[in-house]
Amino acid sequence: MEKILTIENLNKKYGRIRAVNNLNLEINRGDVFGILGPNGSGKTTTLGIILNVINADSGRFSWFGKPNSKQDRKRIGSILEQPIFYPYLTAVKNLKIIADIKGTDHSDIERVLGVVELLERKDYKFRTYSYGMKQRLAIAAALLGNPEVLIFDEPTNGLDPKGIAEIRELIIRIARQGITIILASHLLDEVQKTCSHVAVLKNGVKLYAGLVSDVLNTTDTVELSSENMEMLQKALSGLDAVIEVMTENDRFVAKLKSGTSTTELNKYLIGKGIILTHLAKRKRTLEDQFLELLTEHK
Amino acid sequence: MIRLLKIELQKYIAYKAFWLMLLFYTLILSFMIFGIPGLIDYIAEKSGEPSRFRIFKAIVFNFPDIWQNISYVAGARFFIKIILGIIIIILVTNEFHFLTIRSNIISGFNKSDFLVAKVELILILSIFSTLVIFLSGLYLGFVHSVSKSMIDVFGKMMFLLGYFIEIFSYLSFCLLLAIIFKRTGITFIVHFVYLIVEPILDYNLNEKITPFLPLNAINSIVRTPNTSLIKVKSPDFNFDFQEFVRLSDVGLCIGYAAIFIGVAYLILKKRDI
Repeated sequence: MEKILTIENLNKKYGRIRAVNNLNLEINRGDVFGILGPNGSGKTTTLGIILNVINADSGRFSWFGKPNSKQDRKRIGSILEQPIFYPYLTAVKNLKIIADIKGTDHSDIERVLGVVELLERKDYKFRTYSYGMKQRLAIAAALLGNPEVLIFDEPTNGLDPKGIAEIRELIIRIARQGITIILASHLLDEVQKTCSHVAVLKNGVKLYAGLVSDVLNTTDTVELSSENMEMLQKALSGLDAVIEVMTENDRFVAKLKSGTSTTELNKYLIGKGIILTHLAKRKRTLEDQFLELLTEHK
Repeated sequence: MIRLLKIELQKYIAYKAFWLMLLFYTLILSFMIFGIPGLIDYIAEKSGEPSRFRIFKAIVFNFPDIWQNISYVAGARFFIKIILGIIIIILVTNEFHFLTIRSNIISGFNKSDFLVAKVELILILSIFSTLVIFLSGLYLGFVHSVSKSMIDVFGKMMFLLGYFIEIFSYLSFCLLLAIIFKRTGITFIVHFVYLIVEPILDYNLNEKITPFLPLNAINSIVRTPNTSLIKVKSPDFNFDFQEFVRLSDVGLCIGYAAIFIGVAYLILKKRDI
């Protein structure tokens, strides 16, 4: 697989705070890569470094497998925390400046304004735009010149539910065209709904990186109930594959070691003379996983 | 280079405040230059010795001395060129205030591209200012000058080049301040405070050092002109007036501009945007 971005041993300190702590990351072409972490976990700093607006203290990164140059940034479209434009210029004039910096033809401006449905307001000054329109203009700017990589930093921040849904749909649509996407977010739901890969950051440290689907399936949790709950509890606690049993309402919720199938569990319980009235596999949401990762690393 | 300038100018072509400030500057500058004849006439009338002042008027606007006289008036102290300085401070601090410097870099500028574009902007403004002086000088000279021979018209035009370098170095100073302080208000304050501080230093420091103070250096390319009225040299009044732009003055000024721009680059490079 072709590597789009490689980050090696990246460090950045702000005073005594380590915003990025020895970060290593690899992103391949076609990934929809989520960088997930609470506020202040180093997501924005990391993006700032790979876009050359923040200087790293040490470590390296490289785009497209080549040494760093400004040409890389012309192949990347970015939507940062807040839309940045010259307030006194119209949308078109703002995009012309960006197109000229990127070395893209001006004819692309109409197209990207069409994608974000701003054609009607293209000759209005940026400062007259509503927040949602500003955000859409930022996306239009990022799409200029058909970039190979799109970077989103908290793309749905400050948007209403309709706007959030639109942006997510847009991201998924762009990803289908094979464009690599890097998305930083503190919202698990967002990463879960849009990303193929995820890296979890906390205090600048990478806690986990891998496929979103792997995170979802590492361990299993099952819900069980039986007419004889006492016997069930005894049987479960005697089983090696069970890590933990909790009571939830009138059911037990058991965490199983990964690889334990519900069939085996059921067979074992029947062997003990216990008939289940309820057996359900509970898919762990990324949220549980995320919270767990964060608490483990306190 | 041309590409960067084109991008830079696009930022201002539709920026009303920029044009208003530039118009204001041009008006004040022309008012100052074109006001001189009127002012002389006025003084002549009041003085009761009109003939003497009429001679003075002829001398002031005589080719080739006119070039030194009007570039001195236009650059004298900071009365007029400060408006250009304010324009630069506003345009540069705007980029930090709106965060557009970040968007420029993310779109594919290097920090050096950003700086070079700003230096080109300064160049353009300095050329513009020199052009205003040049055209006003041509007009006033052809109206008032006794001699209109080509040699006299184009003589002493070195002073225009000197004026250009003076404006360029001063604007580099403003550019550096704007990049250091980033905020419009703070940059203004520092700039004005420095305008006050340097004369104090000038007063207190050794005379051997004072010509090297940056604003002194910038202001001394075009010195107090030597008009025939005050040309009289006597044992009590023995003062050498400037006849030519001195290469050492120009060199010092260009050196300062290079230092200002170089320091601005180092700061930009080290700083997180």
